[in-house]
Amino acid sequence: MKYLDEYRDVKIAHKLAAEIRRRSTRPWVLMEICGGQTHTLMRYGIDDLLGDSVQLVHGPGCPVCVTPLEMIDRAIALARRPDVTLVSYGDMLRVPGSETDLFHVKAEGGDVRVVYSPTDAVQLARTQPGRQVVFFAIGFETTAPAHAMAVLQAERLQLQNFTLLVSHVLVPPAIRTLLGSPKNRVQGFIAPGHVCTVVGVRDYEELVHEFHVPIVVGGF
Amino acid sequence: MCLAIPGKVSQIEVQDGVRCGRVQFGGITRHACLDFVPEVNVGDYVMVHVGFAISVVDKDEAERTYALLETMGVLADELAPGGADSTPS
Repeated sequence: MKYLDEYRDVKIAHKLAAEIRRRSTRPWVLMEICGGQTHTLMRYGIDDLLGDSVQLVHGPGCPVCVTPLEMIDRAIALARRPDVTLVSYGDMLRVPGSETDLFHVKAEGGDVRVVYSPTDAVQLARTQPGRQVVFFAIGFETTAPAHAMAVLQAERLQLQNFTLLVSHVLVPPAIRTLLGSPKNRVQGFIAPGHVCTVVGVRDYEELVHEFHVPIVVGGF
Repeated sequence: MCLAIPGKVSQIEVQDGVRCGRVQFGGITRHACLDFVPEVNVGDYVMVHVGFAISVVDKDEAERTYALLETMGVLADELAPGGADSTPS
C-alpha cells in the first residue's frame, strides 16, 4: 500500500469525489471484487461520497462465502469421523452446510481445530501421528501457494497422516463469466490487490483487451 | 484470513528445509514462512498473509498500513490463532 496519508486526506478526498461527480456524463456500475474492499468502501462512506455517478456492486471475493456447500458438507463429514482432526481457518466454522456447521460438529465432540496458517496444520499432524489431520484448504490465489507449501513440508517430513480438502477458486474466471453474461451491468472492476501481489496482473490485462472493460488493482 | 498484515522480520532461520522466521506485528510476534520472499533480510518489513510473507514493503508504509488496520479494528481477528477455538476439543 502506498500514499496512505494522501488517501486519508479529507480535502483531497472531497476534491476527487467532486471531480468524479463533475466529470461523469453517465452513471457507472463498478464492481469491487474483494470483501475487504467492500468493507472499506462502506465503512468510510465512499459509496455515498460518489453520489449517483458511480454505483458500486459487491463482488464475489469472499473466500468463505464462495466455498461450495458440498465442500462444507464434506468437511463436516470428515470432522465427524473419530479418527480425523479437521483443521480450518476460523472464518469457516460458522459457515452453514446443508444441515449444520463445523462449530456445531465441534460442540458435539468432533475434533475441529482452528489455525492461523496451514503450516500450523502440518505441525498438528507431526505431533499427532495417530490421527488423520485434514486441512480444509479454501481460498483464492492468495492462500493456494501457502497450501502448496504445507504439502511440500508434509512431504519433506514424510508425514503419512496429513491431507488437504481442497476448495480453491480463481478470480479471473469469475470476472470472465460475469462479463460474458448477457445480463451483465458491470462496466469496470476494482481487482483484488493481494491476489495480484501473488499472481501478477497478466490475466486482468487479457480481460481488459478482450472485453474492453477498465480494471484497476487496489486494496486487499 | 482475508487480510495481509505488515510486520518487521526479527529473525530468520531454515526449518525443515523451509526459510522462515519471526515477524513482529506491534506487540505481537508470530512465526511466518519467508520462502516466497527470498530477498528479505532481518529488519525488513513484509506483508504476511495466512502465515506467509507475500511481499516486501518499506518501513514507513508498513507502519502506516498497520496503524490503519488497527483503527479498522481488524488486527485481533487476523493475528489471533482462533482464540479459544485453537485449544483441543
